Amino acid sequence: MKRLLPLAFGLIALAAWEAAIRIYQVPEYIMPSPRAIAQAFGKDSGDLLAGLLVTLEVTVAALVLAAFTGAGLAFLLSQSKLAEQTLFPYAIILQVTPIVTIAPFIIIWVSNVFVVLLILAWMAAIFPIISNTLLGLKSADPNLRDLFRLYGASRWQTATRLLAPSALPYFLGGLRISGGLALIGTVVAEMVAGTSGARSGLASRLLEASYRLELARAMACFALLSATGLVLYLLLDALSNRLLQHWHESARTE
Amino acid sequence: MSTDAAVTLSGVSKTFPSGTVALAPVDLAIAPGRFVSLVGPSGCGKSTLLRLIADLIVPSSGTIARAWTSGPSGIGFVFQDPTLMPWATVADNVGLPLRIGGTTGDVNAALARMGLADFAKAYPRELSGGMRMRASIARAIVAAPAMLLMDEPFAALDEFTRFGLNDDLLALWNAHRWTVVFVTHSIREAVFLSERVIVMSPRPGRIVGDVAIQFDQPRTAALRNSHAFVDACARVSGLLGEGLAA
Repeated sequence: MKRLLPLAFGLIALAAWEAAIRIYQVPEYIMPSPRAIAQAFGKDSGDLLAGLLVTLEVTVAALVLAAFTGAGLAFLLSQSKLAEQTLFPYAIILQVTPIVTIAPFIIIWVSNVFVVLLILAWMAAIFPIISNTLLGLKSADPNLRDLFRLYGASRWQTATRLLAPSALPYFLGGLRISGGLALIGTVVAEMVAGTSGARSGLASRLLEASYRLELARAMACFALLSATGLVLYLLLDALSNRLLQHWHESARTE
Repeated sequence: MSTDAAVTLSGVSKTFPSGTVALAPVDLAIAPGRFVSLVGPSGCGKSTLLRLIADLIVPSSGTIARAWTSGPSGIGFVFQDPTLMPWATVADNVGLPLRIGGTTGDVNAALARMGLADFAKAYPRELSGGMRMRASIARAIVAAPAMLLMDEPFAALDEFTRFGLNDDLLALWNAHRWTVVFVTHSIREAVFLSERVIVMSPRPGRIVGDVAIQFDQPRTAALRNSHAFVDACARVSGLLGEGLAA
């Protein structure tokens, strides 16, 4: 029942939208009705899904790259107070700098469009992973740390058996945030990089359609991107629950 | 002081960077195979003394000679909290010292001895507080360490659970005779368990008494109600009072 509530709300909102467009006879180039958007999607679904696939490739690649590099960097920063004090401010700068402003330089320096998009999406996604994982690495139970020391654990044993599991819930929390950021980063990068043609992503197609005042098609792209972000979040949430189900308070138990 | 002691502390003191004198210079030798308790109110330096013995902190002055080798077969430590890894099963938690030290030991036997045979595959959060502490003790003894250090392990448990664990711990010690240093703020617990009670006092932390407790082993629950037991408790209590008044 609880799961149906958002769905019911959405359907009612769509019905109201459809009705308003018909009653006031709003032209499609100003505001398309949900029906027109669905039709636009039906007409070009193959084309739009191909665009979605391009966007998804960049998003997923950037997220995976951010997960590994972010966790690795967090681990390095956690190993040395000096390294953290020296480098963490730059991670913050990376986070607060709007990627739109870096995009022109990356586009000049890198010729491969996929790589340009990947770099920009990666930059958008990495910070929550670094900062959350670092927090997790520092939150390892001090008594357990003492115990590992008493038993003469090597650095590697401490890292794999104590620090990594302690940081896992925090890392997964970061990953859930970064999933959405990777998608946003990809979309912004596509719009700024101005990709076009058959290999262009969904965001480029959205922009093209809006230039041609094909608002129904543009909104179909928009709806598809929203749905993608939602699915990405749900997948990462499920992953988190699955990995933590036995022991962490955040994981739901049946 | 004898040279064959399990641990010998000579003029050992600890001052923390904040300037707090946690422990004034202390001389103490503990013979191997003995069950020794450190008793005192909070702030008397008993946990600091235990951590110094464990080599978890370094003394500000003095020397500590230890007769055991480092690693799981040398030392076992039980904290006030069970300090289990929440992501690992009870069996994996208990087996941790063996995997880290590359030493041999029998996880199942350690679990059985602590009454946890049926909980090997359970996760810590599925256990009661008393059961978690049992798992923590099983982990500390799995590699049969020469020295077992326990830092107020039963302080957070209710009295029934506590008495049960006292009896089990004593039976375990009678069977194996490891050296045990047991920190507690309960006089009754210290007297019931130990052959020797070191009485400590705060500000600054120091030793104010050293009482031999000569009840026959194995000790049973009935001992807690005997006159001799009450007398021994009174003696320790008297030393604690003098220490606080001084």
